[in-house]
Amino acid sequence: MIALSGSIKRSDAICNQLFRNFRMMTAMHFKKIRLLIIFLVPLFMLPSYSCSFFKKEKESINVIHQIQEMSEMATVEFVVSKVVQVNDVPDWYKIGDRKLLISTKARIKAGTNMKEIGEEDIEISGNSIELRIPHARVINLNMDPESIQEEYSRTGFFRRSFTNEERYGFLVQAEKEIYESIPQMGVLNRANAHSVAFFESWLRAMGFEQVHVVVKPMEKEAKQP
Amino acid sequence: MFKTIRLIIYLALVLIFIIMGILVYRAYFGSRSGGLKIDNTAIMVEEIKKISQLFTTTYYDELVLDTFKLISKTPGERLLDAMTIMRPGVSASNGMNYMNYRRQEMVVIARGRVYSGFDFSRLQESDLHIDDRSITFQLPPAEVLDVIINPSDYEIFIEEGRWSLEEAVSLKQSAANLMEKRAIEMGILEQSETTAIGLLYNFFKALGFEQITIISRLEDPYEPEIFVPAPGIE
Repeated sequence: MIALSGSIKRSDAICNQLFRNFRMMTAMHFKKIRLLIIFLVPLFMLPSYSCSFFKKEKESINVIHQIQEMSEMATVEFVVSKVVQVNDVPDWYKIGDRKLLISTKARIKAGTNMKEIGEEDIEISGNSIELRIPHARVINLNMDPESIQEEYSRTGFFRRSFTNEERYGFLVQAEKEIYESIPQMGVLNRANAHSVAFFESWLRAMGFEQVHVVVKPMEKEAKQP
Repeated sequence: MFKTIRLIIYLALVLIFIIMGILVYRAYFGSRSGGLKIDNTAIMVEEIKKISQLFTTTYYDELVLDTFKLISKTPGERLLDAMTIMRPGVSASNGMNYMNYRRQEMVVIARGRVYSGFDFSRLQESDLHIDDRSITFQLPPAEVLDVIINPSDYEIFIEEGRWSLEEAVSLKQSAANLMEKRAIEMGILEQSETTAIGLLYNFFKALGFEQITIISRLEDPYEPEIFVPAPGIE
């Protein structure tokens, strides 16, 4: 009996010793193992980035709002399209390249500010009328979210893929280019012609037989864009 | 002697690592410092339309929207989690995240404009009635004509992980819908009616009409037709 209890005690002591040794070894090598895993983890992390399965949109936090009056008669709408083409600037230290093509459309509306038509701009004599309208101006430019599409994107293995911050940066530039090209498109001239046609038909509907609508020259300080 | 050589080798290795780190960083984050160029492409005019829309009100708004998606963790991430739990003093009960998914967020700031007014192309002959010096004009229903959030009005504040352009655009569309809803709640259509009545009244008066009646009709199925007399009607 005593011999049996003695052997149990010995085996307990051996087990304890082994466990202590194991813990010591683990503690000693813990830093090394951790270091090794830290290097290995990125390799495991490379794939399966796009495995999203659940999305939720939250309600917004309101920040600011304001209502303003305006009195613009839009008489023309231009629909323009632009392809944003982004290329990498080659450099010796770059491995692989980044390319991006985004197509977008913009709607430009232009017309006449009716508030600028004063009594002095209207001359009536019997059934004839002369109306002087202000020069047309751009009312708004709308890059419709639905029209923004990524047509092509390529990023090398060692390169970072495009973020939306970058994509929107390119789109901002495209928006600026579209806005700057408005004078060359002849938007304002077309808007003037349509405004004249609109007011002429309106005035005729009001009973005037002889209608003469004139577009006033654009004021220098109000030149757009 | 041997120690000096070893030291030199170590220093050289450190230097090589630093240089490699800089190069990898520049290649990976190079775009932020202008590593990309936008090619000059043509702007194509696709369509020219004749419209007759009277813009009478603009509503400015700014919204902060956020969205998230849950991404399944990679084996590496799960291993990292397991290692963190193994660390002395960390146990499963102290708030460790055992979920198999991690959260990726995108927060955007959208500044936009909602334009409302009237589409005069919807006018019919019966909407305008003239009798000598009196005019009766029935306005078409006030409506939201445009909701504009251009790329320059849209700021990506936080973007964690990978989000496609479609996802960002869809969030923008949500912002536009919400903005339109808020504008209508703020009374943009009623404001449009008031502005249009004032504007058209002055225009008709300048044309020599003495008795002016402007009838408005808001396109609301629950509201009866509203008769709004022109200001200072005679």
